[in-house]
Amino acid sequence: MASFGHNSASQISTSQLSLPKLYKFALVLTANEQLARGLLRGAAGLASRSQKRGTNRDDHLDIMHKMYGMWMSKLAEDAGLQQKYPPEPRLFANAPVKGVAQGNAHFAKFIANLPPQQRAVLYLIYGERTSYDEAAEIVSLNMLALMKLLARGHAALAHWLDHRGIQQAGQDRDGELSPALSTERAA
Amino acid sequence: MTQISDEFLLAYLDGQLESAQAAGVGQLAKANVEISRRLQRLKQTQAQLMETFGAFIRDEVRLPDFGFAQDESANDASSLRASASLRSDARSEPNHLRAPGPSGSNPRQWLFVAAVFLGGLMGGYGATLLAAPGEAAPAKIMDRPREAVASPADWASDITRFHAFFPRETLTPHPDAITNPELIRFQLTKVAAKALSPADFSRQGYTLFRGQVFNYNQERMMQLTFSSKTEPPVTLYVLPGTAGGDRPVSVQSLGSNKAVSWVSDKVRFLLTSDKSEEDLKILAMIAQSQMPRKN
Repeated sequence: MASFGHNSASQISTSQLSLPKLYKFALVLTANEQLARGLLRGAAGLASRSQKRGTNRDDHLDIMHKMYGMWMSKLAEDAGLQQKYPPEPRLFANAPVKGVAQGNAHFAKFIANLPPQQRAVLYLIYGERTSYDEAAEIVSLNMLALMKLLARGHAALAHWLDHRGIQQAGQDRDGELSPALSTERAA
Repeated sequence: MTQISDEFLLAYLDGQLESAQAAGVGQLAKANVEISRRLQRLKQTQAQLMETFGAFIRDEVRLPDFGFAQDESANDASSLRASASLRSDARSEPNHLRAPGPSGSNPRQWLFVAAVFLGGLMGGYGATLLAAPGEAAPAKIMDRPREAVASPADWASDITRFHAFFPRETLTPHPDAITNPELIRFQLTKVAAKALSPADFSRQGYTLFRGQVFNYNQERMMQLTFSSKTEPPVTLYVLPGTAGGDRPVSVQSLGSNKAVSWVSDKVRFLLTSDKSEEDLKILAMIAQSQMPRKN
């Protein structure tokens, strides 16, 4: 079955790693807690073998790049992985929507249903505040492709805000999504 | 400039543009209602995304129990050090992620695996005895120290040789090519590390139709291709400069490929085409005259 290359005998070197951040990146990539845990274990194994390139930030970005590679190769190996372990909107349930005091189920589902690559890029730029160059390196895209992906993410969000946004979120926080919304994904 | 793309506006909002470019977009937004409206729209989604992922990154998260321990000596509270080994913790790892292994299987299987392993080991050792001792492979360019590979003195002929691998038909438009002039300008500025616009050869009948970024000796290099209805395509390479200072136009040739190169204001240029030396020198002069003046 799926393995992210965890080596049980490995040890993380003395280098300090921002593990909560790596775990959050794993959560963003997979949108599934179980898969994220597996991915983090794989990343920890990688970290123990990797040589320090320079600053902690360099190491951090390097490991995120490797995590992304592991996740993509895992998806390529097992096309049904995301069907077996579907996105969990609850992971993003605290995501606030402007104009609404607390996060809402609709918006969390929207974030969870974004394509992994797009969600990762949005997280890197607006969560981790990486530069475009750094984000492009992590997700192995050229600059133009990254910019297009970002723009599509913005367009998807703008569409969501227009059609399902604040009013509905306020009225129906726990409601199930309509079939139309379940198919609403970024291009 | 009014055909500005959302990608470029986003780069502006996300603070990724060089200051001169950003100022240009800012002025344009003041003068153009449509651009201003689009910027406003993107600002809304940007603010939403920053709030969403900002909250996500600030949220406390409980790490899976893999034996990670808080390192109290760390200055950064969010940094953890895995001071204990990553124990094989079957309880915390979901079944689907465990690597398939022979643990708990039949001892005969173990014996078989060991026999295969030993056989492979001995076979490999035998092969090394039979094989002639070869010289150690040279280090890859990316593994060499930067000083050893960066900016060789013959970079111009190097690029001329590189360009020889491009047949003319590859210098024609392609769906994936970068064709948006604003994005080309954005890329060019990043490559040259200063505000730079592509050369304008429109009076000579050339149109800029493609910009591509390549890696050259651990540096970025931009290839700008100009097409004409009647003339052969012209290609301009732009690279960040070296410490050597400015250099006047000089000619390189490799077979039928001719090129002129120069260094100006810490940026290296190489212009090449199936044209005569004189034509290339004229185009080089035009490109030089369009360069922003030094401060």
